[in-house]
Order: sequence, then C-alpha cells, then structure tokens
Amino acid sequence: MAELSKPARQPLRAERSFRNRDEKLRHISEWFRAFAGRVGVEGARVLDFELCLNELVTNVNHYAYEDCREHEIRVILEADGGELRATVEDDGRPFNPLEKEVPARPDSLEAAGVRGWGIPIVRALADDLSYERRDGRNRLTIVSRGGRERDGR
Amino acid sequence: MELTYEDLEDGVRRVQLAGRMDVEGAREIDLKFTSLTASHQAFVIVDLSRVEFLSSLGLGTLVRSAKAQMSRQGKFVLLSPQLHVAKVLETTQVDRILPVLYDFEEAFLAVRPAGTSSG
Repeated sequence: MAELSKPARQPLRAERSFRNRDEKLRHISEWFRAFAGRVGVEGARVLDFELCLNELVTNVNHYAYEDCREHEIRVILEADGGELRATVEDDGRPFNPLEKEVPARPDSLEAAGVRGWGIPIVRALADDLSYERRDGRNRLTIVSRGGRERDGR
Repeated sequence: MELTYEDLEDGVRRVQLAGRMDVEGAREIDLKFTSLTASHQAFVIVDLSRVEFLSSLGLGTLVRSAKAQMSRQGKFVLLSPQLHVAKVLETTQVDRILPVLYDFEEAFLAVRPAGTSSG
C-alpha cells in the first residue's frame, strides 16, 4: 500500500491507512522506520519522530471515537530536503491538541498524573505541530527539521 | 516485552524490563509489574537498560507504581535507561520526581530500607 513516488533524496511521500487499533502501532513504527531509512534519516531523530507519531496515533485510538467501531486512520509521511513530516488524519471528534492547556510539570511524585504525557512529549520533541479540521476530519501534522539534530545529551 | 525479577538481600527487588515499552509492551507486563512493584510495600530497582523505546503509556506504568510505593513508604528508582528512554524521562521531567541512577550499587543503597546494613 505504501507508495514512494520518487527516488531517495528527492521529495518523497508515502501514505497508508491503518485501523484504529493499538496493535497497529508497531506496524506504523516499522513502516515509518523503513521510510526514514529510504530518505536517509537516522539516529536519535528517527526515534524522536517515531515516538511522536506513536503518541499521535495512540491519542486518536484512545480518545477520538465515541463508538467502538473500526475507523481508518490515514498516515502520510513526507520528506523534502532535510525536513520530515507526518500527518495523521482521522474522522473522530474534533480535537486540537494545540488548544489544550499544557499541563504543569509535576514538582512531586505525589502531584504527578499517570496519563496525559503524550501530547507534551510531541510538543517537546517535534519541531512543529499543526492542526486543522477539514471535511469532518482532524489533521495533525508534525515536522522534524534536520538542522537541529537532537541526540538527547 | 520481557519482565524478570530477583529478590536481593535487605528486601531489595530488582525488576528488569526488556523490549519496547509502548502501548502493547506496557500492557504485556502491566499485571505482573504492578503485582511486583505496587501491590505491597517494596524496595524496587527497575532496570531499564534493555528497554529500547518508552512511550507515554509505558511512562504512566512506571509512574503509577512509583506513586504506589510512595504511598506505602516503599522505594522505587530507575536504573540505567538507554539514551532515548532517558530523553523521554528528561523531556517529561519525570527524572526530577523519580530517581534515575546509572550505578547499581548506588541504586541499591538508595532503595535499601532504613535499618538494614549489609553491603
């Protein structure tokens, strides 16, 4: 299903749809890593982006739908020059994470929650995060730019 | 995801996790991990050296057990996370509320219950 339109180093695009089931998350990760390899992105940047993508799709799986039916989540990967972009599109309830207040970082274990870490992780690790609601669908896009290599040190 | 554990002297328990601690991985170990680290007072070292990937749900699993130990007057530290896992702990600032150590002896001394003196 994945389609790579041009040879490596040129703008590349791949698109796949996945069911809104958590067991698909590892498939998405594997697919993304293969894409990253094709476009020559590696190291910590791949891990950061994979985690962000994982968090976005997890969020859709867990919170976007009010029913238990199967839905399709479309994921679009794009690489252009040094930029890596992923768009996650779903037909769930409108949800703009950018409008969600960033929870304060807990200053004690007692005050810490055990959920709600996903979007803060994405906001911290992605270079850009944008949202639009179009044709009844949520579209969340994350961007990683190559100029700022993060190595976690 | 794999979970193994050993009970050491002075009541210290070392739990070693291995694999991807994503939604699927966290669910695989959740019941056993909670039973070993949260259901009663314990002095726990969670060895993360073989965890390759930590997502928010995996992080929640760790924090939940740590909170349980705090309320039970137990102890809970994280040992030797890989670079990317350490980065998640740092990004979320969980490393400020939960000890993250890189030396086993140091971790042992940190969790060993008061009043014990071996080592």
